[in-house]
Amino acid sequence: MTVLAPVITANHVTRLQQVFTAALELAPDVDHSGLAYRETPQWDSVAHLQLVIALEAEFDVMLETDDVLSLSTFGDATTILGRHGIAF
Amino acid sequence: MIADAPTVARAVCALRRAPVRGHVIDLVPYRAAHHERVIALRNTERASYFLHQPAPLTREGQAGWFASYLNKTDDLQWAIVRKDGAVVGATALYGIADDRSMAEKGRLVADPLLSKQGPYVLEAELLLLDVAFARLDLRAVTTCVRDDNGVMQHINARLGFERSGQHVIRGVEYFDYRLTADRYAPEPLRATAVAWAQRTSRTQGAPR
Repeated sequence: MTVLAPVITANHVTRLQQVFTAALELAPDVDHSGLAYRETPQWDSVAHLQLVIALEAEFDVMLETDDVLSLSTFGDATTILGRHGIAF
Repeated sequence: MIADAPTVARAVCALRRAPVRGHVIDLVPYRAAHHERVIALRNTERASYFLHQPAPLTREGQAGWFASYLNKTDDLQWAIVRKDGAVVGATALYGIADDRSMAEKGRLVADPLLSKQGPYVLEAELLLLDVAFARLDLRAVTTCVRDDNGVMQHINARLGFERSGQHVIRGVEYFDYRLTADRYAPEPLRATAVAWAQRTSRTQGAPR
């Protein structure tokens, strides 16, 4: 278990990065830690909703309205998914 | 309204009589009851800036505009109304040419506090363009966006608009955009509105 945990965590990070990259139509080498709603040009209101839908599908969760509203950075996504039992 | 009016004008009059239905919002023909909410939205700091509004909009001013609007046959103004009845914005298609060559979209205002809560602006834009291309059979829609309004420029790009020029209004630079009917491909974006409506239905039991 102590060996597997970091692998699972790394997998979640990779999956989360892939979701962001696809939903926001980002370049493959983008620095995800610098992404911010409406500061990153691709992360507009439409992309935000596409991101929420993609996150829910990828991690099999249903985000609360407060989660949807507070999601503004990549770090926020790890925090929100963490509350839904997804470890990072 | 006018029996022998040109076909386009008659179509405009017909469109003023019934809402255009979407999945998360409807475009409801503008009426006086919308004045208060739309004035409030247009007088926010953000909307005043991007619409380059020289002074706050007043009820008298809006009523005057509405009276002249009712006499036009080339202008469609809608309130953007969420499925729960809340007015979340307004938008317009105007300068609708009798020869169906083009019209301009604009006067868009939306509650910025709701931008993360649903694809209201997106679906409003799609429904407006559906009207332009499918119901009015226009060949092109144009629009202009303030040069520092990156959000709206990005949405226009998503919709397929291409930069066609730029001009200055009262000292402010605007970028011109044009979308032709053959480039309008709404389905990928419409899928987002549909998916969000389905999601809302799952989370709240009924569409909002």
